[in-house]
Order: sequence, then C-alpha cells, then structure tokens
Amino acid sequence: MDTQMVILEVRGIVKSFGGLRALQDVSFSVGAGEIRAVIGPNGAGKSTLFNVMTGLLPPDSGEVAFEGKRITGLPPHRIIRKGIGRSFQITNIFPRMSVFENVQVALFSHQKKSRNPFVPARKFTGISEEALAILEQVGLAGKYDASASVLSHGDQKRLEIAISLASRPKLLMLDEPTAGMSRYESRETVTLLRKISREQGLTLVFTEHDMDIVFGISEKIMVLQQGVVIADGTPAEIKANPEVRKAYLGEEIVS
Amino acid sequence: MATRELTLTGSFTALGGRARGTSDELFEGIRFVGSCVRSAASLPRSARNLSWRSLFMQVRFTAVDAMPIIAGLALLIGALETVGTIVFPEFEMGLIYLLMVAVLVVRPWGLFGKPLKIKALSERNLGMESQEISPVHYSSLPWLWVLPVALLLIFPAVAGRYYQYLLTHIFIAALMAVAFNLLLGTTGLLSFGQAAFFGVGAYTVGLLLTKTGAGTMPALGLSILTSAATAAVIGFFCVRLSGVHFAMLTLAFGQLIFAIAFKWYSFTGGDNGIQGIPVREISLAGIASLDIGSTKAMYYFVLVVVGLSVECLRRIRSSPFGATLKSIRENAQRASYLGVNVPLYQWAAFVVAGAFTGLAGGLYALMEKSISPDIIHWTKSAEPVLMTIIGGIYTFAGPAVGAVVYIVLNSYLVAWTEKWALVLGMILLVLVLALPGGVVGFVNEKARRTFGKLGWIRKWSFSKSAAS
Repeated sequence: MDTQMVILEVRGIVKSFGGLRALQDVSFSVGAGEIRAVIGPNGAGKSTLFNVMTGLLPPDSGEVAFEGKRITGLPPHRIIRKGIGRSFQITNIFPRMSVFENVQVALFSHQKKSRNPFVPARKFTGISEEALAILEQVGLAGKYDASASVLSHGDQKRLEIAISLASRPKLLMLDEPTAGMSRYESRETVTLLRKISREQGLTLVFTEHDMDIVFGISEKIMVLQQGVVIADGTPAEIKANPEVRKAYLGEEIVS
Repeated sequence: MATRELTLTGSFTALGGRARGTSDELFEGIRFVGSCVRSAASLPRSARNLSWRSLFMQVRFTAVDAMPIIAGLALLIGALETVGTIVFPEFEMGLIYLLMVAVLVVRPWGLFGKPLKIKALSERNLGMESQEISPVHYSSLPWLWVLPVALLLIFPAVAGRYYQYLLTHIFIAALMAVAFNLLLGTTGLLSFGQAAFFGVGAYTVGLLLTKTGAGTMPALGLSILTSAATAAVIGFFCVRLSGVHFAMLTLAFGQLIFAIAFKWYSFTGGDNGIQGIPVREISLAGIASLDIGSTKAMYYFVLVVVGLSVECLRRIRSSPFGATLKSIRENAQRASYLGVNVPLYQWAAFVVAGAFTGLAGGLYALMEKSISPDIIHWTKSAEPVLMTIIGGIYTFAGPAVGAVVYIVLNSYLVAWTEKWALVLGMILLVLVLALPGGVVGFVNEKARRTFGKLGWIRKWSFSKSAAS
C-alpha cells in the first residue's frame, strides 16, 4: 500500500450547517486503483463528504487534492474534467431521454463535442459505438432505445454508473450504488464495479450500508461517525477495531 | 422555503392558475404564464398595465408576510413614479421595470423574501410529468417533410391574397415559436420576454430602412445581430436564475425594452411606431434584383427565410449541442457533473433563440411595412408560449403547428365575434387540457401506437439514429 501512488488526498475538512457540525477535521488518502469504502450510520456525514469532495458544497476549512493538485473551490464541471466521476445516492439520470442518449450526451461532453451545433448527433459514429460499448459493459445494451424514465430502479442505477463511466474518470465516487436494489441486482452491480475497477485501474470510493458488500470488495474502509473519522484501515483491521464494533457494527461482525 | 412556495402557488391560485406545491418549477412557471394570459385576456386593453402591475407586486413581493410590505412597496413604487415623472419624463414607465430587473438580479427571492435553499438532491422529483419522448424519431424520416413543403410552394397559385398574407404571418409566428422552444422544450427555460427580441429585430429593420438607405438584406442581417446582442446582455443576467425567477426576469427585461420603444419618441416614434417602411428591391449579386413588394413575392421570400431558419434550428436541436441542452433540461445538476458549464450553454441557447426571434421580427417589419410598440408588449411574449404548449413542448414541429392553430383561430374568431378573446381563451384552455402533450405530441403518440406495432418505423429510424 505504501508504494501505491496517492490519487486523492483529503486534509482536515470541516463543514458545518448552522450549529450542526457535519464534518470535523476529516482527513484520509486514497491510493490509485484502490477500492475504498466509506461507512457510517445515517447522518454520519458521508454524503456531505462526497458533496464537499466534488465541489457541490464548499468546506469551511480544509482541502481536497486530486493527483497532487488542489481542487477545493472549483465548480463541479471543472472537477469532473480533471477525472473524477460521481454517481448519486438518489438516481440521477436524464429521465426523458433514451438510455442511449443518456450515455451519448456524457461522451459528447467528455470528448468536448458538446459545443458543436451543426452536425447531427447521430453522425458521430465513434461516439455511438462507444456509448453502446459502455451500455454493453453495464448490461443495458438491449434497452438502449427505451426512455430512461421507464427503466427499473436497478437498471436506472446501472445507467447512472454508465453515465459516470462515459467521462472516463480515474476516480469514481459512488454514493450507495446499490441502494434500493434487490439482493441479486446488488450482487451483479458489485461484480460489475469490481470488474471495471480491475480492468481499467479505476479507483473507487463508495458509501454503502450493506456490510456484505463493503467487506466483500473493499481494500480499505474508513468509518465515519458524527462527522469524525473513528477508524481507517483494511477490512481485517476494521473488523478487529473495538471502537468500530462498539459504535457501529455491533454484533454483526463478531458472529 | 415551504412558506415561500405556498405563497407563490397561492398567488397563482388567486390568478386562476392551478396550484400544485410539489411539482417542478418549470411547470409551475407554465401554469403561471397561463394564468397571466388568461387574466390579461379577460381585461380590456387599457387596463392591462394595471393588471400587470398588481401581478408584479403580488408575485415579486408577497413572498413572505404580505400586508405591510405591500403597502410599503406601493409607496416605493408610487414615489419612484413621481420622481420619474418629474426627473425623467421620457422614461417614467421604464423605471418600474428597471426596479424589477434590479430586484431580480440582486435579490431574486424578493426584496423582503428569504432565499430558497437549494433543493437537496434527495428532493428532486425525477418522475415529474411522465411525458416520455416518443422513441420514434420522425425527424429521421425526411420524406415526411416533402408533402407539406410542396403544398406550401403551390399554395399562392390556388389561394387569394388574404390567405397568402395570413400564411406569411403564420410563418413568422412559427419561426418565433420554434426559436422559443429551443429554450422551453429543449433547454427547459421558460422565457417570457421573447417579444423584446422580436421587437429589437423589427425596429432594427424599420429604423434602418426608413432612416437610412440600407438595403433589405443588410437590414435583415443586422436585425439578427442586434437581437442576438440584446439577448446576450439580457441572457447574461437571466441564466443565473431558474424557474419562475428566470421567467420573471425575462419578463421584466422585455417590459423595459417595451418602455423604451414606447417612450423614446425622437428615435422609435413612441407609441406611433414607424409607418411606411420602404421595402427595397433585393439585389442578387449585382446581376438581377428581386422585388418582394407584392404579397405573393413576400410570401415566397418569408417562406424561404423561415424555412432555412427552421432547418437551422432543427440541426441545432439534433446536434451534440442540442443533446447537451436537453440534458440540462432533464437534470441540470447531473449535466454539470458531466463537465458541462450549464449557465454558459443556457446563455448560448438564449442568444440563438433571441437571434432567430429577431429575424422573425425583421421579417414582420418587412411584411407589415409598419410597426408599433405593441409588438414588444409582454402579451406578445405569451404568444410563442401558447403556440408551443398547444403544439407540443417536446416536439420539434409542435410550436409551428401551434402557430397555425393559434393564428387561424385568432383571425377567424376576430371576424366572427366581438368576444373573440374569451372564445379563444376557452378553446385554448380545452386544447391544453385535452392534449397535455400538445397537438403534435398527441399525433406522435397515436402514430407510435399504431405504427409502432408494425415495427418497421422503429427498426428503420433506430438503425439510422443510434446504431449507425
């Protein structure tokens, strides 16, 4: 782990909402290609942390560095251009566009074609093929012409991952990628994520409630409680950490 | 936040709009426009400004706790008008709109209101009106356009001058509506100030042709530039806002431009407008010249210019730029997470729509040969909104079809009854309620149900649009 290059460095993030201190001096770093889980009970500050890291919320203090460059204070669209993809806890797609168009528009943006107002979108055959390939990867190729709004919840989540992948991120941040999915769907999604991470050397940072998934795929786990990092380490270290067991995991791990 | 939404929807209800607190802001805006138009249509012309002003006060300033604030504002507005009348008699009317612009730019949530908190992601209602886009792309069936175009080309041979004139009028309105729908249907921005760009285009042509010896084509070309420049300035302020606030700011800017045209006698002719605009012959590369003075020649000229412009707008809509605008309409935040600079794209769409609207205005000045500030009044801005809603927001041809329906109905009703505004309002209301997806949306849906089963359209159009 020490030899690994650090891709993301979070230093001393503090964020308060009125009197509520959502994040208190949160620091951690993520190595390139790592699969990292951020866990913690509801309200621990996971989503706030993600929002701060991707530029949606400004931190009160502290900074986030991606590939050694400070990204705090940049707007989301600039941060994304640096190679950070994000999927959301609530399904966040383009509902009244087809599944194909959802990915196509992401590719246009990533390949800086969005400003072209003259050539019909379908003439970009390279992008069309790439979009279909990404849809193939997440198992949605068969539904490319459906309106995104009629997809099942699991498929919408997969579509969201496909949209995020289209930006060819080096780091993908997933906020509860399997929320609301059936057990079967979650397992498939997790397998998919791990496969993509391995094949493309993609770094994953994700939050998740399902401990089977967390301990199944993570290489490192960070535990947040009331905005404070109470533990950070390998799955084995987290399992053995008495504070984590007491505060969050309870008996589940012991058994 | 809840208080504000409630009072906002409350004032819509008072105006006759249907209130629904949870629905998307855009649709709130459309309903709001509907109620504005209805209340305006039911009032005699002389009272429109009055209704506008009370409306303005209600929506802008009653946001939190009403009565003392309204009283205070009435005083403020009264004082402003008095000072205005004494100090700038020429610009008295514009001051109120200037105030509105200032309020919206500096404190969009109202002078005494509180800012709406940004809606958390979890509150986004993605399933809003589940009007899906028909997966059949008719635009990729080129032969569907052949028949209507052929009919339009032979039309003057079989129809009299009145009908040629009526159709020319429809072309111009259709261009304005299609350009407007680049904002509403494609980008999801409800602009309520399109008449301003129409007016800037019309006045550019009117002033150039009457006051200088400019040729017809250069004047028309300049009308595109001046309206685009106006849209660039107005858009710069507007795209920072969203939903109802965006609509209100476009409305305020539009009225500001109306006030300028209405009051600046020495330059714009004030409420007299500009009469007797000379339509000069168009020289074709110095070899031949084209006289578009006759109704028939004007018909063909407008048909060609509008046809080219609409094709241009269609290309824009189907381009990567258009797809990006659509993604902004669907989910602006997600779009920004694709790396899209959302306000920049909204601004660009605003400028493009403004430019084509200005061209429509320029054509209007050529066709009518006289213009008045009436064409910039906010009630004119409502027309493309209505046409688009009648024809279908999420269709490309919808606004043009809506323009046909609106203008044909309008001209027949005016000839038929004195209470035409009432009848027109009722017919439009029924149309909008019966066909929520618009006329074209309805036809698309029917066609999809009928032909979709056969499978061939699906297969054919998709093999072209996606896989290729």
